[in-house]
Amino acid sequence: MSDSGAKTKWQLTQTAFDRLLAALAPEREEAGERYILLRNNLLRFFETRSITASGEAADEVLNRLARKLESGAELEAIGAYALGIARLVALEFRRIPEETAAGEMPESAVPAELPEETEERIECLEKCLGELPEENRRIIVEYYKGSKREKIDNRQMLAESLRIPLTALRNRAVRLRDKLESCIRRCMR
Amino acid sequence: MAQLDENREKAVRYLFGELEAAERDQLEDLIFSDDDTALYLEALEKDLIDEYVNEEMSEALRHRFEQKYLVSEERRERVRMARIVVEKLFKDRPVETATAVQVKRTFLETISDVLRLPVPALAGGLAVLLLVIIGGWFLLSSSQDQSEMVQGNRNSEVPLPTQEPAPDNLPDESKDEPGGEVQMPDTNADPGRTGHGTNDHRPDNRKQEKAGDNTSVPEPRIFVATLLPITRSGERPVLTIPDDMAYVRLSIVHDNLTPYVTYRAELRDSAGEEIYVREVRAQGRVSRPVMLNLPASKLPSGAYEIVLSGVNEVNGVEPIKFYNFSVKRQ
Repeated sequence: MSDSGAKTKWQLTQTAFDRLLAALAPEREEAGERYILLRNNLLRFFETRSITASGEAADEVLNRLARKLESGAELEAIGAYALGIARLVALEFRRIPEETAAGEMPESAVPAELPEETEERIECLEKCLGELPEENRRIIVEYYKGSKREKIDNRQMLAESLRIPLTALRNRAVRLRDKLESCIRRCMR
Repeated sequence: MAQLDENREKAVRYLFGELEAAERDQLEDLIFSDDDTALYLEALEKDLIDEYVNEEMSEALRHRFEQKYLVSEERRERVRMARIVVEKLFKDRPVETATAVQVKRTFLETISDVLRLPVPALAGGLAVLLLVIIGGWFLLSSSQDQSEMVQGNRNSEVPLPTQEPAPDNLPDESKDEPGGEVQMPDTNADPGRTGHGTNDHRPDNRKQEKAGDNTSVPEPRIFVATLLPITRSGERPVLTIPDDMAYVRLSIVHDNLTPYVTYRAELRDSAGEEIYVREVRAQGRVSRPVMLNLPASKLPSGAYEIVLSGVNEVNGVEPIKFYNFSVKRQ
């Protein structure tokens, strides 16, 4: 994917990024969670349209959103605004011939990692896991462990032990796993 | 949110890029405006990836996943990440945390949980059902000998076994139409009979007349038990089934609220071999127990599992609950 088709001239600044986080939630931690969720929504948006450079497209949307906020704009429905930008960016990415061709050629296998990449990832996993509070560690492990059929019971038991509804547990576990995986990716850079 | 919860398949089709543009756009309006919907999709995607990594997908779903989902480097990276996380975190360390949330629950705690269900109608319905079962069990157990009462108490956490002569319209396999359903127990009936789940709609006095008729052919007997989805203690409930029982009727209690087309109950032995499968229409019985009737000969002594699933409108089968129990024949 070249830069020629998409508007990527503007570079994200720390101030603009801070504005974006502040617009997502007043608390920094919650804002971080919402940022990950919004980016994942955008990734899915482009992936369901077979745009293979989904990461680049999602970042382009977030950059434009941050730029808008940096300019002093007040956005009430930030998600809906991001969706509007995403629809425009999708059109722009589709106009790039090599992207369109590549986007319709799904690979059906996941290439294996090199051994050193795996080792590095495991080290990062240990490090990131260590950064989670004990209760969050327990939640993420309990929520996802087991085979498909065991998971149903595990999750029910966990929700009961925490005295929260299953939906609340699911949201918490998903956010934790997002955070963990995001930490691993950062650690590997 | 609830909209997606009720249609997992629609969410899967979205992830696989299979929705029509209009439907997809409508769903995206919701995803970008409602965190719960977005998180539901996020959770579903992670579960799908884990199922792929754990090789738990059906052949058809795996094929769809590879052809329709793995279409970008981002997604392939997600699978690689999941492979490491699942292998190193969710498979390597289950023991240290497994006991942390093991809560031994009593039958009364279960009832108390039912009464706290967020849907009043469901809570009320299940509570009535449980109370009626208990009432029926007490009435029956009072007429049984002491050893049977001990057995009933031991099993009271999960199954409530009772037994009675079979009615004329015995629910044997030959009478069960394929894909048909069995009558549900009438929870508003006489507590002495309710919970046995018989198909007998005759007035009680007819049964009494029959009992006194020495010339009548002895009726086959049905062993009746109720299974609740409780596995907290780790102990399998034991159904002690007398050898002279001809049929076993299991009332499978669940709290599913998803409106499936049919419920599917699969009985498996300890080796995982399928012994008996039954599908019943789910319409109008979202959270009502599913009845499973089978010849007692299919249940020799041993360990068993029942998998209760829901079948949606596109024939997708989604597990709801699992029930483990042992059978002791005597």
